[in-house]
Amino acid sequence: MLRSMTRGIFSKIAKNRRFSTEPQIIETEKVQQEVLEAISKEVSSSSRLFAIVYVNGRQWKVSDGDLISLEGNLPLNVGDEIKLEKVLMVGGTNFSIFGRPFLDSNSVEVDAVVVEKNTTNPELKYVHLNHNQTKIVNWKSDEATVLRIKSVIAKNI
Amino acid sequence: MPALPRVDRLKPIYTAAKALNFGWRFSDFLKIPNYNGISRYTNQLHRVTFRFCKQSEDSVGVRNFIEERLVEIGKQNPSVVIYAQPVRNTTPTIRAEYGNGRQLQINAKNLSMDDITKDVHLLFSRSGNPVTKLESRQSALVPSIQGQWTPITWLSTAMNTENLPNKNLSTFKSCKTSATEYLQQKNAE
Repeated sequence: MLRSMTRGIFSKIAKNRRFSTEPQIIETEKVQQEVLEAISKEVSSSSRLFAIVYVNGRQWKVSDGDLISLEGNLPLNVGDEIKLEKVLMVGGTNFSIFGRPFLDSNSVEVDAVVVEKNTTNPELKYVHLNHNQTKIVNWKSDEATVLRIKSVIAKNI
Repeated sequence: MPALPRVDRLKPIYTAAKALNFGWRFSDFLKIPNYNGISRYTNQLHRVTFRFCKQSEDSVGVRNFIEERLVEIGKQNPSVVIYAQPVRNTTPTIRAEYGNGRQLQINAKNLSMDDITKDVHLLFSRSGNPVTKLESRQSALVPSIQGQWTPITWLSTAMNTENLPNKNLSTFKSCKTSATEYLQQKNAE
């Protein structure tokens, strides 16, 4: 899948863009194959991976055992296991793979558990008007859902 | 101060509230006790005690809650020990004890059954760590996998042995064609 996608990009670039030095296409297929083989070797060696996932309206860089605190009381119970499917990127020590915008959910798995649901620390807002007998305290506190990332696994690359 | 301070140290009175913004405040990193969830999730709540009065009007909500919902909740959470403790003329409270030794107590005076249900749900889903202002919304076991980026991380090593200034290295490289280059290309065609 990746292979066909990247082939598309290269041909487009070669046609439309003008470089200061004339671009040359060097055995793209072969290079790609070498790169992909190297990556799949890296992945199978069970080294630590990280992924960029889109949850709760923002992107998080997560790895095994990370904790992330999401805003709001999400429709999840404590102890529920969920799979984060919007993965934008996966990387290891020696490689990174980017999706356009997302990677295939079959090739990357990011599993998480809901570990805690609590409230955030209250932020206080005061209104105090002199000589006016006006004192207002607003306690602003939101609910939060804490996830623990169980594993980031890449396969079928 | 007790040896094990309570989970929530906030007091809903104005003077305490002032101290919260202008005095010394707790701030901490995102933490979960006992490596919970790394291999499997275990419930951090160990015991819940309901203290209530059998007659007084204040504990009507707690009494209704115990009658109607407590058994069901107990069945759903078999790992949690639940005590219902009638005490004469007491202020009704719900006290929860967690795996890290901390405890959290809620004053349930004059609360309705629905409010109590919400509070109990919160007690069941807390991990036992105190609520503090977070330094960051994320915490990681390993700071970086590819290593920290610096401005010279991806620079070519060719510059190391050159005598600077070098004309070749100091030209501005861009993927856009400059006007001069464009004209030169036109002339060549």
